[in-house]
Amino acid sequence: MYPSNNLLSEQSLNSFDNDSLFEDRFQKTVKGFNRLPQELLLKIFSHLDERDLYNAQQVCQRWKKGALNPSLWDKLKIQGLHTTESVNDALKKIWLFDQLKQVYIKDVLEASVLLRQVYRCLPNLQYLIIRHCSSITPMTMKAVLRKCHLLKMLDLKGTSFKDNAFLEELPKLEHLKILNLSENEHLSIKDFIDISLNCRYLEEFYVSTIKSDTSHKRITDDDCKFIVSTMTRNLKGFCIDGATLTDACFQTILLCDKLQHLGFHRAYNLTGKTVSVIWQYLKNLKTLKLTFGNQIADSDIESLFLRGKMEFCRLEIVDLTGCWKISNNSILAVSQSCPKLRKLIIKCCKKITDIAPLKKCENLEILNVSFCSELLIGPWLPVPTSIRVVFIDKGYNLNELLHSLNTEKRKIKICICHSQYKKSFEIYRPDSSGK
Amino acid sequence: MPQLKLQSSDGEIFEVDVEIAKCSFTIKTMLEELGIDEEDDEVVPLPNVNSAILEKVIEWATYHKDDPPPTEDDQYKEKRSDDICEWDVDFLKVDQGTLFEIMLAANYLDVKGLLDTTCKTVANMIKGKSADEIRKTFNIKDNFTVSEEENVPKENGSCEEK
Repeated sequence: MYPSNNLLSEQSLNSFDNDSLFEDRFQKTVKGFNRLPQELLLKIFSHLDERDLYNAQQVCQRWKKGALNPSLWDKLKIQGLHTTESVNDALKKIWLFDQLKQVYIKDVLEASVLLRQVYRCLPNLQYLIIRHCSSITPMTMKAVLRKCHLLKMLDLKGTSFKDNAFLEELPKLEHLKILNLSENEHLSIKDFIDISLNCRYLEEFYVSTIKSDTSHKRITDDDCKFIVSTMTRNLKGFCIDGATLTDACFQTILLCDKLQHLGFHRAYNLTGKTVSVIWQYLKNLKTLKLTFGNQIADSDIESLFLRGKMEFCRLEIVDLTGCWKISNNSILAVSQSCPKLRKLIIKCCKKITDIAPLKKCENLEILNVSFCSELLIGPWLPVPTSIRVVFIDKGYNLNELLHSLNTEKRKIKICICHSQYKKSFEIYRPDSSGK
Repeated sequence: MPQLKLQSSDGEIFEVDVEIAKCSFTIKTMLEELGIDEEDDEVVPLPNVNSAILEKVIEWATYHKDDPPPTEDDQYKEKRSDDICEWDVDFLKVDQGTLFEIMLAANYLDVKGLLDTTCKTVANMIKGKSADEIRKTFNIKDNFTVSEEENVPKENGSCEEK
């Protein structure tokens, strides 16, 4: 009978069909990301930064595993840590991410434990930032500097040690180019001078706040001039606490013509006249910080930026905190002269009422307008679309601000500053307040 | 210009300049190792790529045929993804399914430039989004238990200064 034959062939045809159907269905059900092999997932993730990788970890199991792959991590930031688990987690990450180039530890009580893990696991570390960690033993710090001998940058802002024996290690670090020792309570002027003399490779030296107790002498013009003169040849970045310096000293610093980052903090004696000619000396500035410049008037900032328009075309960061005399004209001048402006701090500039000209700054990401009590926000805060972070204080009407920034559509982080003089703030999270 | 015949998974045959086909490192090695002569009328089967996607890949390779060869330094990791050329941006304005198909095909055919540009495009779709938004964008199911999600360490703030 003929059907049998036919049946067979039909069956085989059917099964063939079924197979391909199955495959087809398989292809259609396994959609999107699940179709990508791990290697492609990692390739996509390789274009993400720390923040995005953190978000990626929370998407699903597979993404979590992928986003924690050591090959993706060259920077790690560790902050807070209030539980034993979070400390263990940080230790595990330092161990796991063995290709880290930068470690940032902030406000961590157990920093010593973390640092011991750092020097054990990361002998090739290049950037180490330890801020506001007060419990680190001097021995641990010394060991870190001995073992991580490729360090390019060491930032110890706000991290003090009972004894400063670790300073001896600094001149031995042949790659050390950037050093930040702001707010370091137990450092003396002699320590700063020694560093400027002995760390021959240093290019950037930051001491924006000298927090010396009464037993130490305050920094004088001569000290500062000496530090600058021994480093002039290399100096690309310099920030100094200017509370006890005179205008003549500030003028001397301007002679370091390679400076790209300059900060005169608490520059009470800095005259407007000196400010207005900065552009004639420093033609490659990327950062300019003039804080608490009591004498700086609107006309000085105006003439600095408008006459230095050509010289300031690379300026990315401007900090005019506490320059209380300046007003709207200064904002106009800055916005007209700095096409690359990325960060602007006008904290405590209480005469400023209008920041509309900033709309033009297409690269502005971070704006600090905290304690600008006269600033009118109105129905909208005039900021460019590039803005990512806005610093305000408690005096602002948060709802109005959120509405005016249109935070629903744009990813903007709001930070609420606590004090006019200290840098301390909390991050406002829209989702947490809703609870 | 010598031509090569490529056969997609659904049986369609595409005639392509050999030089363009060699954009694919997979095809290039196949030709060299198997000694397929360009004069032969042989067909190269590509069982992992369907005709719609193969057409897209050929379109991309044709446009980019005069690009300098990709440099082989994977050591230098480039995080940026805002450097996609305008033509590619337009070219990749397709639905997500197609985008992933193109990426998979570029991976299978080993077309480095196309793989890079698709990966960057997807990375840009992830950037700046919260986990929830990412799940929505790519229709991914959240398979964490609640306690696990809480285990993810707290995000660290950014923007510090000297």
